[in-house]
Amino acid sequence: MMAARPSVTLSPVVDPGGFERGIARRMPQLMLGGLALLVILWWMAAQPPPGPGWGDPNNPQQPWPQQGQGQQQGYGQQPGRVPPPNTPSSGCSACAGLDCADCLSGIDCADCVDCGDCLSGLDCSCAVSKAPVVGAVPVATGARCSTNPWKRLAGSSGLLLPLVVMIGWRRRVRRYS
Amino acid sequence: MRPRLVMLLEPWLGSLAALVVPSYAVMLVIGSLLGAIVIVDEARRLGFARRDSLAVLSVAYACGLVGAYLVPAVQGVVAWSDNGRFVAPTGMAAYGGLIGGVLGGSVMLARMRRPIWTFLDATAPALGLGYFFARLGCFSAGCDYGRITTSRLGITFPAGSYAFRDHVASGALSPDAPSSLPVHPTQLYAALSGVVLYLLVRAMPSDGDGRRFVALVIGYGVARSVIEVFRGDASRGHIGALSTSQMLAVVTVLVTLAAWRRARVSSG
Repeated sequence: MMAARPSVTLSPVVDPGGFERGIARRMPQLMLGGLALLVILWWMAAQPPPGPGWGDPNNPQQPWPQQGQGQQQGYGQQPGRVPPPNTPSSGCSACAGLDCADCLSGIDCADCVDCGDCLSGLDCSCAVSKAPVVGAVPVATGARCSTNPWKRLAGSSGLLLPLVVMIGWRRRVRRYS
Repeated sequence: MRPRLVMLLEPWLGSLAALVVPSYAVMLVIGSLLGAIVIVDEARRLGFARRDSLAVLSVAYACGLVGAYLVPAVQGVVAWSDNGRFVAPTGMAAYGGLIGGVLGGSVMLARMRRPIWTFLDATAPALGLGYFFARLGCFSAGCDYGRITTSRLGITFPAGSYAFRDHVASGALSPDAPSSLPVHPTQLYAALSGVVLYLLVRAMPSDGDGRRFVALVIGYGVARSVIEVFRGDASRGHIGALSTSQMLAVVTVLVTLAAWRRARVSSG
């Protein structure tokens, strides 16, 4: 007659810290994978063949200075240069031609419409205004681009997620320890 | 760069491409969470309970965010006092985040009466890790771009990017151009420095005396100062001949070395 075997109840092995230890142990491999990602990103962003509009001082159709030349010379200050028409909703490049880049920093911007579309759509709203014209060159003194603090706040609020996770994680650790 | 990466992946992934290519904020969140996990693990090996580590990290992260936003705000005020024109601050500063986070965490550790340098040692590898992800986020957003270059390392950013708009504004590029002029991929240089710092600091023996953290601060300061030479964005600000970050690197390294030396002397 066989003796009754004692019943064994398996309790889960609690390994506090096992989660982060597992991830931390794999981190070097992850970072090496990150290095491979860097190479891929660089390859994807490596310079494409020059397209239309690249500087060519010998081409009268595209009399833009080559790189290095005219670096201190603003678009609007080049005599005889007439920027392309900056029509509303014409997209980023038209705005960029009139220093719409400055809109992001809250600097005046001429004739810029819907500047938010030009950038990441985060934090710029642009009023419409007619820039004064000096000769044939528009001068960027017209509209005021204002930073929308609520949009910026909304865009930045995602960065609070790690804080929420850490607080929740701590509460969980306290509850189960 | 994100729009271009999405465009390149769209033939294979369709509309999923926009979800796969992360934005700046997403990369920052991923880096922060992975960094927190690594810190909790490292701190546990150095004798910190997980709940204590997480309490310190929560405060440090919040203070880091404040510091990261504060530096551009101070730069805006300085520019306003210089030329009378207020420039609304945009973006974040990595050095502000580092300084704010370390200060906030140190205050919390002092209040908890826990060894500050030991915990800072635990954070050192994760700071390199977080920097790696943050700079990949910069690459995605196109900020912090490099100087114009003719070298084979040069990359171009699409129309509408920060580099593109600055090149157009300076008169070096037509608004009709498809992309910016080739620039140094400074975001990728910085991300690479994050990987190297992580691997180097992680390989150092950690006995909790702060050596690893000091090594990270020096390594980061040197790497950042060198990379600044290749930066092309003018908005990061200058103090004399040095950029703001180079100046902060010098000050941070000196202050860290002095504090570490003082802590070692006082502990005998």
